[in-house]
Order: sequence, then C-alpha cells, then structure tokens
Amino acid sequence: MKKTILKSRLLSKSFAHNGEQVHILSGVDLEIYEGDFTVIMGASGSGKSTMLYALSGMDKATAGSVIYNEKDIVKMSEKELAKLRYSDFGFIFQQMHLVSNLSLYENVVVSGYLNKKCSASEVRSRADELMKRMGIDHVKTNLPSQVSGGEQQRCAIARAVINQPKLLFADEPTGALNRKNTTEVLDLLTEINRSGQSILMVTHDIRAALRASRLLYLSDGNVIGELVLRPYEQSEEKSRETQVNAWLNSLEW
Amino acid sequence: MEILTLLKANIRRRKGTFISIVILMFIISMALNLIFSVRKSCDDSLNEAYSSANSADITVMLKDVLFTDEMRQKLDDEAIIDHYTLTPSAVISYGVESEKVSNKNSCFFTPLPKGIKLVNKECNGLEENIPPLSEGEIYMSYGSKSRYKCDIGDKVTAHTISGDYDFTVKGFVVEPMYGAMVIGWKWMFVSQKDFDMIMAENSKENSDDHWGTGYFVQLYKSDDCTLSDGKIRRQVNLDTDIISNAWGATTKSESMHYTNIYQDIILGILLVFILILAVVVLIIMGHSISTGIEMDYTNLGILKSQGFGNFRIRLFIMLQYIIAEVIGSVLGIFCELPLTRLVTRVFEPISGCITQTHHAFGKTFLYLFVILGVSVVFIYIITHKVCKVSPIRAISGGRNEIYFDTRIKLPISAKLLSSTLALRQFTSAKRRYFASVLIAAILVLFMLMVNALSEAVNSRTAGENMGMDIRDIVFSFDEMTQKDKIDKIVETVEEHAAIRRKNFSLGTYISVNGEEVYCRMDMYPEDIMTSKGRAPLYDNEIVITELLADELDIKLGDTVNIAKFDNHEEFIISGIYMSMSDMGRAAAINTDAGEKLGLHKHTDHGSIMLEDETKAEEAKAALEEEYGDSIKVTLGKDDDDDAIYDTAVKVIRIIIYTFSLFFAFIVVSMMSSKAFTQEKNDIGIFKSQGFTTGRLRLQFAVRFFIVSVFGALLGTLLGMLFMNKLITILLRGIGVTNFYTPLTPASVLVPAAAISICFFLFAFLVSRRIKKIGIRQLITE
Repeated sequence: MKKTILKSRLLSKSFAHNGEQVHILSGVDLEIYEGDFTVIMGASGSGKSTMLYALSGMDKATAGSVIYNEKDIVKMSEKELAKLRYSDFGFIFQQMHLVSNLSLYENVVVSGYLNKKCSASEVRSRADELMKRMGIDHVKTNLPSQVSGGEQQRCAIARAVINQPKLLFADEPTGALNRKNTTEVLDLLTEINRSGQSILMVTHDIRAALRASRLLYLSDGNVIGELVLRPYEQSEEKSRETQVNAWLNSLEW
Repeated sequence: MEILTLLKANIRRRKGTFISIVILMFIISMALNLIFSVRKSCDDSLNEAYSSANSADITVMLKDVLFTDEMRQKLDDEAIIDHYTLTPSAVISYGVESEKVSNKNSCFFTPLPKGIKLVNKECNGLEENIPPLSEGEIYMSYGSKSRYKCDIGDKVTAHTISGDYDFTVKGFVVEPMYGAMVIGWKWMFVSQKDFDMIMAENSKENSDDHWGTGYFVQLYKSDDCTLSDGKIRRQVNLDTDIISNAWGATTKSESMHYTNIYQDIILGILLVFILILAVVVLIIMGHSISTGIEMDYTNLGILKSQGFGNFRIRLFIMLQYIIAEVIGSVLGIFCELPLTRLVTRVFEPISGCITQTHHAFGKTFLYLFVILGVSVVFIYIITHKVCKVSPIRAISGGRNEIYFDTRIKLPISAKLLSSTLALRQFTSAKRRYFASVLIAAILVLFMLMVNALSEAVNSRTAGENMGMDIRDIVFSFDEMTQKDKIDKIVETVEEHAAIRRKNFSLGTYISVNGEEVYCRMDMYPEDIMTSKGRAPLYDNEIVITELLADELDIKLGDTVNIAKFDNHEEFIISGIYMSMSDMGRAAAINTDAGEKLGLHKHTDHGSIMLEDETKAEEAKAALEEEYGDSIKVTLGKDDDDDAIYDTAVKVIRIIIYTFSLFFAFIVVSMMSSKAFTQEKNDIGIFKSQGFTTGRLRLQFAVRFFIVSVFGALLGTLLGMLFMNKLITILLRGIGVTNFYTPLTPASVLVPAAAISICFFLFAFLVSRRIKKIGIRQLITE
C-alpha cells in the first residue's frame, strides 16, 4: 500500500476573461503517492500547468483543498507557503528561471541557505556534490546566460533538490530543450526518482512520459485517465512506448 | 496623429513616471518663480521707496563746519554731479536706547522730509498720508523696529553730546537709505521743534572730540554720467575731498546691497540648490528613458517593423517627458502666486521696506525655457539608443534578458543572505544605479553645505576665522575712554580668565586711494588676525580685507594713499585680514596711525573674547565689583543679533532638508518602479524558492541603502573638496572670502545618515508592490 504524500479534493481554478469566468480545473480529486514518478499529460490548454501550480501552492486555487502533511496548503499564509517551498517542495520550471545575475552555483546555494536545517558549509558541499552529479560543476561559476539550456535546466534541478524536498514538481522541464539535452534531463530525473525522490511532472512529450511510474490524463479540467507502469528501464522503452501510446489513443489524445 | 496615439498610450502606461516628472518640475518652477519674484518684489519696492524719498545716488554725512565754501564750490563745478541737496542733521553720537535694546551706533535726526512713507499699524502696507510729528514724538525706520525691539508708543532715548532726549515712537516709516535692520547708522525723524532744540544744544557742546551737528549732503549724478556709484564717489572724493572729510558716505547701490543682503544670500543659496535639483531631474529622466527603451525593446522593434522611423520614435519619447515638464512648470508658477507675498513679508522687518508683490514671470520663463531646452537636447542624446533597436531581433523574442554589465564576485553569505544578495543586485547593475548614486551625492553635498553654514553661525572658531567679532564680554563706556584705563580693565579680566582676543577700537570711514572704506583704529592691533602678512603694528601700516584688495587692485606690500579730513598719508599694506564689517569692505590700523590722520586715541566700547567662554560670568562679576556703574558690562551670549542669522540658516536648512528628502522619495520611487518591472521575473523566482515578501522587501531596501551609502560617501567627499569654495562664492557678498568649515563628525554624518536611512525607508515603503508580484508569471501555459 503506497503512502499518499499530496491529496487534492474538489480542486478548482478559474479565471475571469473578458468578463466571463473560464474554468480551468473543475473539482479535481487526486492523490500523489510517495516515491512515484507521476506524470500528468493532456492536450494543450487542458490545465496541466495550472493544476501543477495549484497543487504545489505556487498559485492559489479558486476552490477545493490540497492536503499536504494533514494541512490544507490552499489556506496557508504566505509565510507558511514560503517555508513549504524551501523545505518540503522543489520546483522545476519549463523556462528554467534562474536568477540571471547569480552564477549557477549561487543559484543553487541561495535556495539551500534559506533552509536553516543545514549549515552553510553543508549546503555548499551538497551543492558541489549535486553539480557534479548533474555534470555542471565545470560551469558552476558561469552565469545562466553563459551556459546551454540543458545546463541551465540541470542547474534548476540541482536547485530544486538542494533541500532534499519531499516532493519535486516539474513543469515541462524539457519543453525548452533540444533532443540531447532532453534525454540528459530526463535521465537525471529518473535517477533522482530511483533514489526515492517523489516527482510530479507535467508534460506533453511522450518521451518524458515514458519515465513515469504513474500517468494521469487531464482533459477539460479533470483527470479522466490513469495508467500505472513499472519503474522505467531503458531496455523496455519500446514496449513502454507502445503501451503508453495505446493508452493515450484510448483517451483520444 | 499616430504620434499622438502612441503618446497617449505611453503616458497612460507610464503614468507613475509622468506624474513624478510633473511633481519635480512643479517644485522647481514654483521655487524659481518664488526666488525671482521675491527678489523682484524686494528690489522694485526698494527702488520705489528711493524714488519716493528722492534718495540721492550718494549720501554723505559730515560735520557741518567741514562743508566749506571751497568744498561747495568744487561740488558745484563737479561735472559728474548734476546737483546736490543739503539737509542739516542732529548727530546722536552715543546712539539710541529703547526699553529693550541699547545701541551705540550713531544716528542722525532730521525733521521729516517729503516722500517718506508711513507703515500702517498692521505692518503690511503703507498709509496714504503721514501725520506730522508733535513735540516728543519720533518716526523710526521699519528696520529699527527689529533692531531696537520697540513698538508704537514705546519710549526711546537719544544719547547726544548735549544730553539725553526722550521720545515716544509715533510710527515706523520706510527710510530706504539706512532703514534696514542690518545697517548700523540710522536716520530718524523728529518734529521741527525738537530738532531745532537738539541742534541748538549740540552746537553748544561741539568740540574737536565731539561733534553733534552735521549735514546730509545728497549728491545726484548727471544724466549723462555712466560711471557706477562707487566710481562716482571715488571721483568726487578725488576732486572735492568731501568723502575724506565725512563720517561716511553711502551710495544707493551699496544701500540696496546691504538692505537686501539677507534675502539675497538665502535666495542665492536656494537658487543654486534648485538649479542643481533641475540637473537631478535630468538625471532621473535620463535613467527613466534609458531603462524604458531597454524594457520596451520588443515594442519599439515592432513599431520600426511597421514603418516608424528613429526620429518619430525619439520624438514621441521626448514629447511625453517635455509635456510632463511643461505641465509641472505651469502648475508650479500658478501655485506659487500666493507665496510671493508670504515670503516677502518674512524679509520686511529685516530690510525695513514694505514690499509690493511683483511677479518675475519673465525671468522664471527664461530659466524654465533653458531647462526645457537642455532637456530636449539631453533627451535627444539619450534616445539615441532607439537607433540600435533591431526589428528582427525584437520580433524574434526581444533583447537578451541580461541587463547587468559587470559582476564583482562578492560571495553570497548564508548568514547575511538578504544583504549579500542586495549587494550583488547593486554590483551587477551598477550603471542602472549610477544615477541614484549621483543624486544621493548631490543631496548629501547640499545638506552638508547647509550644516556647515549652521555650524559656522554657532561656532566660535569659525566665526573667528571668518573675521567675526566673537564677543564674550561686551563693554560700553559712558564717555570716550583712553587706552590706559582700558589696560586696567583688561588686567582685571585676565585675573579671572585667559583672554584670546581684545577688540577696543573706534570705527570710522577713511579714504583709501580715493575710495571710502570703513576702518577700525585698534588699541590692540596685535590681536587682529591676518590671513596673509601681519597685523598693523606701526603707524604707517594698514591691513585690508581680501575683498577690498580685489576691488582696489592692491596687494600685500603695496603703498596706498590714506586720507581723513585734510590729512593725507602713505601707508603700507602689512597684511590681509578677515572682517565682515561693512560686508567685508574694511581696513584696520592702530591708534598711532589714526592719530596721524587726525583721529583720537579713545573709544567708548569694546569687547573681549576669552579662551574659555564659561569664565565670562566670573569676569563680569569682578568687573562690576571693581568699576561699579562707571562701565557697562554685558555678556556676549545675551546678545541676540546672531539669533537672526541662526534662524535664517535654520530656515534654509529646513527647506534644503525637506526638498532633499522629497527628491530622495521621488528618486527611489521612480527607480524602484523600473526595478520592479525589470526584476519581476527574479522576484517571482525568489518567491518560488521560498523567499517571503517581507524578506524580498528588506533585500530591496538594503540595495537602495547600499546605493545611498555610495552616494553619501561621494557627496561627503565632494563636500570636503569643494564645499568651502562654493560657500565662499555664495557668501562673498557679506565679506566672507575664506569660508571656514568647523564640521563636527555629527554634522558630516547626519546628512549621509539621513539620506541613507530615507533611501532605505522609502525603498521599503514603495516595495509593497512586491507583494503583488506572484509566481504565476513564471508559468508557461
């Protein structure tokens, strides 16, 4: 029996557009399990990213609840949310979003320094270790603008995991990358997941979806399909792809 | 039309910047119109008073017996003099005493001439008619009201060589020549009967030592004479010797200079400050335009792709700022209109002249036109960046997001995370903060200047170094006293307190190379402080001020012709000294030298500066015990003449501090607004990593604090280097030729601290907007 790490109940999100209410999420009930590599798929405009941001507390839901550690993060204060971000959650953006005037290394350690659980020297040694693991230690003193998109995204991953979050959110982490960099980033995420890290990722890229242990399909603001897979093995990629494609086709993707 | 559409859209989108420029120009134009209108009102009203009183170009006061037929003939023959009038005057040699103030300065009484205007009871206008004086009544100049601290109905006593005469103040009049509070001599008006009586009594007592009857000789220059008043006086003296024989001679331009000196200095300092603030506005605009172009890169590229040329784009950018300047200027002038009267009223008790409001729109418009002209050129140069905008690059995603220039690798510290991040944000975008640093520096420089002025007014050392008489113990003798008696008084003081400087002298006017100059004959010449050369120890030596040396084109070691009465002697300039007597146009000799010129070696007043002013009370008590009522001893600290200057400096300080802090707020608010737009993404990223709004606001405020600290350091450095020179230029008019700054650590630190703290607080205040910046914008749907 898997342990639930994050749970949403009747999660809704709507925006006012030209005077009309547009409903992006319509009462989503969802559970995310510890240790899973959960991937949310869906057509463009289906509300994948919106759901990810609402689940992670980056954006306020219009209605419903998101329970983490028995607390509703929808009702959390800004201070509580900030603590959640630097201690329990990690986030990877599609556009990397590194602070442009900090070096790659500094981008990672600044997030580490926020979490007072570790000393500054521990943060630095963990950052060194992560950057080595991500293969970007040779460019760690460079500014984001001086490295490739793949290196930037690997740095963003290092930043996201520096505080050893309980749950790592990733919003189309390969969306802005070329094929080579995409594979590198996905390999990294797979490796992190194998070491026990829970991941919730949004993507519309089938190659990225293949890494999942659980696939969810979002349509019209609701989860309409779920596919549970075995942990990813590169050798099984072909058969996995067939399985996922079949599932997606059944959902009229 | 298309420009108009773009203009409207841009103003709407950048209304914060637009409003800020309007406010800054509003302040500048309001201040400019106020300064020029107050000056014009004071000058015009004084000129009207001169005209009404038919004041002469040169007014000479001399003993009646010295105005000989020969002198009269020479004056008649003088080509540059059209005509002259003669007004007999009773000399009040020992001054006038009110119920509150005793003043030793000589006064001159005459019957009321035509053209003198009476100030109304509310002291806010002039009466149509002036009632004649009855016996025992006196009209005093309006400046005397402040000088003697008296009011209508008060008793005043005139101390003359023939005795004391009591009068009741019937009213105050505008006497333009000597009426200002700052001018020592006073011309007062009594009834014909009282005048005749004093003249008759004084005539009986006239002697070589004391003379109580004189003339006002009022000289009117010829219409075709183009010489300045000063040159006319010199020429007339060379031709007739009238000035050498006179107690004194004042030109109309000197009278005007002295009368308006107070407001001229205050308004002069404010004018310089306001013009510097205009430069600050340019800097702010430059920064705003420059960052605006960076931020609007994509839009500008799109406009170019649609056929807008560089000129059109630059034109609409320029127009939006110029329109803001014009609106601010017009509003400023309009709102200033009621202020002129209020401010001129403040100066009236000092100038002794009731002012009519005259607005100096012409001069204000001229200055504003120059400011707008400079703005146009400046904006045209700044908007050159527009030419580099590439439509292709703009359409394909805009300019590279890197907006910082160089990077100083200062480490990010875990313990001081907010501060080190703030420092990084500053060092990685130094160019963007250059304008803020410069503005903070300018504001600190001016605050330092005004602190220096304030310290100088209150500092003994500064006063001494600038030629002020520092008077811890002030003496007033009922009769002229010789040096041997004064020596004994000095000895008594020395028994109780160490003496730093003694000033027992008699002031008079002498002729130096034909120019009338105030000269003090000093019993203790060794105590005269010189900046070059040495004190006038011998009877053929004279020290002069730097201002006089420049004016007469003479220098240390030169020989000059000195004349007084019929005595003409050659003197050597032994030193240059600092003195604020007669607005710095002064000289000093010893009493032996005075004797050579036919003057007496005695005085009826003096003062002593102690090494330790706290001993003054003790010395005063000892003097009173030993000399009783034969001498009048007062303490310098009870003399409240300095309080007026102190108040003036305080007023300037309040104005400059207020303006500085207001400008600091606008600067911080405008710079912050740009920073928020540029750093919206970074703020979102920081929030996504767990930074709270409070922490980011603190970080933002710390960044502006760092900016202001750099500015404050630069301003303080500039202050140390140039402040004295700048203040000397401003104060040269009152005889300060070498401003001495006695800045204490506190007076240096206060402006720097005030600006830095305000930058911090203002930045923290305006950074409330960080709360509204969400992480949502990082989302790519």
